[in-house]
Amino acid sequence: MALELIAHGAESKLYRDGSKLIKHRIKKSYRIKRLDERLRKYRNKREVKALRKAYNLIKVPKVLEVNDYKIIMDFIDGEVLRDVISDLSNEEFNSVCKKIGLYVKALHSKGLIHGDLTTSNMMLRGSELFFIDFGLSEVSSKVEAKAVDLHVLKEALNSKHYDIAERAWRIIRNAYGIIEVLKRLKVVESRGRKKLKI
Amino acid sequence: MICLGIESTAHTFGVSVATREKILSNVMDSYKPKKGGIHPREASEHHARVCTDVINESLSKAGLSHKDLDLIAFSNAPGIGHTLGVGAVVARTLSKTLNKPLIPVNHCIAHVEIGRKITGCIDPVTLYVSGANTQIIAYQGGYYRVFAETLDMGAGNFIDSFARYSGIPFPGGPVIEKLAEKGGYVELPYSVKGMDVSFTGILTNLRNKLRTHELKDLCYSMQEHVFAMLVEVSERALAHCQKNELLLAGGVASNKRLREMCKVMCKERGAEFFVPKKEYCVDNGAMIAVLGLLMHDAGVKFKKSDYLISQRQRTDEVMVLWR
Ligand SMILES: Nc1ncnc2c1ncn2[C@@H]1O[C@H](COP(=O)(O)OP(=O)(O)OP(=O)(O)O)[C@@H](O)[C@H]1O
Ligand SMILES: [Mg+2]
Repeated sequence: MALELIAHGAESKLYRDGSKLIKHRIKKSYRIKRLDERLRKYRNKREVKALRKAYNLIKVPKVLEVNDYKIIMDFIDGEVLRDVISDLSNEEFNSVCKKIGLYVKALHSKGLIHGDLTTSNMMLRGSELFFIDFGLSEVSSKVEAKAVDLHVLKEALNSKHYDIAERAWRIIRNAYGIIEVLKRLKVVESRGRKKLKI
Repeated sequence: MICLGIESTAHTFGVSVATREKILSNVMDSYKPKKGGIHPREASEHHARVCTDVINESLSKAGLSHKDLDLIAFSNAPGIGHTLGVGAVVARTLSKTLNKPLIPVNHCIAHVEIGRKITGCIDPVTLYVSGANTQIIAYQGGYYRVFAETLDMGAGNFIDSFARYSGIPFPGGPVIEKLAEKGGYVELPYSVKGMDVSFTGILTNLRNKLRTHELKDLCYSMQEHVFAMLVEVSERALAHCQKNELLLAGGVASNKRLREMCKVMCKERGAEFFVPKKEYCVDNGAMIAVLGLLMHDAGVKFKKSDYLISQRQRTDEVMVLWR
């Protein structure tokens, strides 16, 4: 059966095979072989580990098979949130944002840092929200790591979805609700602004 | 319409004369610290000392005199307060005495605009890597938005700090590039968080390895790791923004290995890669003149407070009315 290329992400090519998805981390010729292989193997491993752990906490695709550079997982027959977030009804929008906050909270509570929280890495199937792409995830119970995770999400919203970012963030933050991390987020943000000092 | 552009956000005092069609001159004089990093007061003293000569040379290279100027543009943000102040005073004085309009320009956006003008790219993702700044910028919905940036220090300052620890004089970049040519691989930390990068961990790691490893190997591996990080986040931004042009800007853009890596990444992705020649990548007056003209032609209006220098103005605070 022919594989259908469904996406060319920044680090992988993704193929559909019936009800399965094959994520193949492809070689990047711009980086030297040793670094390239180290990163691809490492991220593949991290992604598998995180997907398995997250599977019991939130909705993520189930891992079916693994090798050095490939993961075979459930195919999610839905849309990437990036492409549909602006078309959601008010009610759907609120519910999705709330879920984002709760998902991140659930991950962080178990010391799982996603590492690349953007709307490109979230999918909607009907009203079900899935998190994908755990290649940059790490295990950490540090407040700082969690705050940076949120910072990445907030930045991604502000840059890509500037028109709805504020509304989305308010709901996400409230649903997330870990005060200590939200406080640290302010510090992370102010650090970014001060960086210009030489 | 003839515009004089003045750049003074950091080391470089640069002055250029440009029209809408052509950059007529681009003269610069850079402060070089005797030891250590940039010293703000010394840098501003340097700028104050050279400013008259740089302006005169820029005018004479353009074959023009003060009275031919129609417009004065200057970089009012972001940067070092001391040095920004010199450019602002010089620009204000010229504008007052010649009775010509004054245009305050954001330095980071000027890097993008001169890149677009010189290379002909239309809607790029810009990888802007200089001493203090490391950002990925793309235009969206009326603003240049920052899609990724360093969480701690600029890549250029990181490279210079590493050079300093290794006993290489400022600016360390070119020497490190040369040493790297003969180096081999040493594993270093690789720090990408989402689309952001960070350097302090790598710096500490390199510093510890100085005692146990050969400098050329560390230079090589530093470049391979750090540039791979920058190129990786650039590729993420291209994918995320669904754009297919990459523009490289900033002083670190002079590095041949970084250019090559950008080129290869773009080729593999089916995107196009653009980089202006060196004099338009480093801090320069031409980019200030170019953006000054664009803003003037778009009829951008300024409040009194817009003319003040701002050390920390962010790229996405400036409404883009010229695109
Ligand atoms: N389980 C899945 N089911 C259906 N589609 C998926 C699945 N996983 C990924 N995709 C699709 O592939 C795209 C890229 O996936 P993913 O983010 O995992 O790859 P990536 O190469 O790491 O991307 P990037 O580095 O650009 O973030 C997603 O945006 C989505 O369209
Ligand atoms: Mg992704």
